[in-house]
Amino acid sequence: MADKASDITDRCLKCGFCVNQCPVYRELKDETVSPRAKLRLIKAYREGALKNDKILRKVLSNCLMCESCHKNCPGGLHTSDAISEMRAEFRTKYGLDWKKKLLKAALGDKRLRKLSAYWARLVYNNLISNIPMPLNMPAGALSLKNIPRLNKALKNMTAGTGRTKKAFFFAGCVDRFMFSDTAKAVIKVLNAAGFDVEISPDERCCGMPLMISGDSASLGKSARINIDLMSAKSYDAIVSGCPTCIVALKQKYAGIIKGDAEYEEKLNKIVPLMSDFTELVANNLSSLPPLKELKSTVTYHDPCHLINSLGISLEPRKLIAAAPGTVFKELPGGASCCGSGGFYHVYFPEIARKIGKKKAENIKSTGAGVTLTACPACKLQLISFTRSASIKTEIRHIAEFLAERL
Amino acid sequence: MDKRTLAELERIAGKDNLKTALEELVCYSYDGYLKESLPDAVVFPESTEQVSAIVKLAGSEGFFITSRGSGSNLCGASVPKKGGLVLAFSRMCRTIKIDREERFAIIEPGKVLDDLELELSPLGLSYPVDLGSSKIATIGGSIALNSGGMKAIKYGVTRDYLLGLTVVLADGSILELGTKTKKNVVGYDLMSLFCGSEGTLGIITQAVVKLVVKPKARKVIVAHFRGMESACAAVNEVLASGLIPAAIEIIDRLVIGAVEDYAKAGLDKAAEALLLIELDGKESVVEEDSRAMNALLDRHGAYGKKEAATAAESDKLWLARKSAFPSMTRLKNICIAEDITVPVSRLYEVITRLNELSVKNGVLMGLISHSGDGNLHPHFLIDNKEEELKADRVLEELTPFVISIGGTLSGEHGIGVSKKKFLGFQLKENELRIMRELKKLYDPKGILNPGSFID
Repeated sequence: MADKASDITDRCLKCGFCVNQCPVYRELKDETVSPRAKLRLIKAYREGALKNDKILRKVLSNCLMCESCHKNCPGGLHTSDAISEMRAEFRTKYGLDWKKKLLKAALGDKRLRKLSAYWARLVYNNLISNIPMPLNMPAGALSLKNIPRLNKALKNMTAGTGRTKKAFFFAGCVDRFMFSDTAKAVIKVLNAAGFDVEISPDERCCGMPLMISGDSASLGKSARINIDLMSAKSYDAIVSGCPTCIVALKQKYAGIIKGDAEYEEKLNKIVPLMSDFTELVANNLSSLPPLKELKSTVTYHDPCHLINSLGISLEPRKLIAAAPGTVFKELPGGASCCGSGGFYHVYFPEIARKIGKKKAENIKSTGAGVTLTACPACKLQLISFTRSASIKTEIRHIAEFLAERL
Repeated sequence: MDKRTLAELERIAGKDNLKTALEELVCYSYDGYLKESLPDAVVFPESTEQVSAIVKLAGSEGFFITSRGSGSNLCGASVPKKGGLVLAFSRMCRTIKIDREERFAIIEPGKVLDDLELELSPLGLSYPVDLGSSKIATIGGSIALNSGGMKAIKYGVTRDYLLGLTVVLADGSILELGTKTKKNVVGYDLMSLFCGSEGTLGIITQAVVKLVVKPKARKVIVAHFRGMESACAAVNEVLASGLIPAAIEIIDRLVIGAVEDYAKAGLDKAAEALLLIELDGKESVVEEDSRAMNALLDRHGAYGKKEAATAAESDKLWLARKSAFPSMTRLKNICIAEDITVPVSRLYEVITRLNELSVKNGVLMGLISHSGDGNLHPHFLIDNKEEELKADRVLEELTPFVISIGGTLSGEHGIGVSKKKFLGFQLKENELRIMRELKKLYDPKGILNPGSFID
């Protein structure tokens, strides 16, 4: 195997199977932004065929990191890894812009992360969401008035004793500090499925937002802290309600700690225990008590990292099917990105808005009263875009849907 | 291209529809074939009138035009071989009309086949030309190359579905061809001439295609074989028995391994060959045909037979088949997908020769075949472009035999630049002369897709 992620550029046969599946391509219909072209351009850059890197940097930043190219590549190429690697090279050369610097400061430090979330909640819930806003104040591709009120941070760090199994719940930044209702629901469902649940107050950001910005280098410390936390006790499962966090822990940490034998050993032990919430619960469905019957028409949005990176699409549907009284409608348009893409929507709001609008229209066409997903970032995006389009559907994480039926 | 010409292109197509940065040009220098060549500019036309204006400009300013759908063809047809302008049709992709009563659709050339099928399916209709690359291939590109695909055995090829074409000729004039009837014998069949002309005679800007009623039932069967010979014998008996499957595909051992690693469809990697068969039609007919098919496969020693129980399982098996070409990168960095086609009764004989010649020339080869129509896709796997010569030698040695038994160099991929060197094997001098004269008649200045199979 190639040492560098970007060496896969020599292996791309240019079949184009990734092109029309790329959400950004579908909006712009220009080969230049397609995954195939990104690989070709990285190759051209490495060969010295481009005069400079100005346009290349812009092209490579125009990627949602949704991994739909990987899912659709029969050759199994990890195009997003090649993009991340080039972004890292450019970060070393040019540094981070102010938005990314702010992000790094907020997420990189335990106290600052908590403090940022506290201020965000305070300012947003008390000021912004209470002031009538005639204008659509933009926040990236979202408009401020359509962002939901933020929950208080999760307080209780352990839940339950005496069950046969024990789960480490990696809550993640959003569910822990902003959508703690989701985190509470995750805990409730896991308890019902026979798991005692522990959360660590020392948990750090999984690092994905910085990783995809090309800043894996500075993540060594927080990755090791997280690995230590998850290795501290003997857990039966390590789980998150955020598929992006699981992708980071399960698939990306190995690259960050590469060469550190002690941590490689620790990580190898815990990786097999890691699963997304929907996967863990679907595998333990028989342990759940019968769910209450509630009449609802439901649709489901596949989060990119869950379906494209972790390959999980049947499990969430299995969970939805287990809820009596539910009429399930598949979302037209297939498993396409909601347009959030981490901070993509801040950099390319127009494209993200178009993608989100299409998603909202697809949701509307199902007539579903409840739209489920399994990712906090998708949840935020979907709430905002369905509100903008005045679509009456309740956007919920599957954990909340299940918890309500216990 | 000078500034004045670029400014004129921008005036015609709009600022956002003109690309000239080196990085952008690199992205339009390739398709699914090996050879690459940079254009001088790329324009995304959005109407027939814009295309007409651009072609007129090309005529007066003397620049070349190469049309491009999605750039997924395997013969270099959409590579701007002599530079000039790439007309990229990706933004001209509307469905103008779907007529349910008469069962036809009017579409723009940039429409991707799978996207069209998504629109037709809820209406109970289908455009049955099903390509391996349907995820990305466009209707314009597949008309230009007269694509065939998986289901040609039952449903025919692209040409069989054309009712009408709008074509911009090399002088910029607009030609409207076709009728809304199945039968039409008035004059020469010009429409058929454009289909498969690889963009050398005119530029297709709109198409009217026939649709079929979506079959009520379908059944996908996979059957493994311990030898290629028995798989080919089974195919021949299927055809002789009067069964008409929608598709009957052969995949050989090397390709099974690669596609199974991706699609995880439950294929047996130890099999020497497998047949992937689809039966479709009325439910009762499909059931009856499937019983006959199973008995026939058993007689030829098939093992590990599996019938897809759900639509999702069927899709997975087809995903495996359609992934053949791109999955080859799991084995080597470069893959040349060839396209010889032979009478079905000679399949095994030709496959044997192909294998022998590949071994002799030291090139790794995996094979898939639309066996029901004798279309073979040997996939030559090589490490670097220099090794291309090995694959060339196999073809040089095989082609005279293929022609002698009534076969063809290319069943559906087209000639482009990839098979230009072999053209003389198949086309006689007087045939070539007529083609050259036609090219001269349609494109006297030689501005349309120059450097392609005919100049």
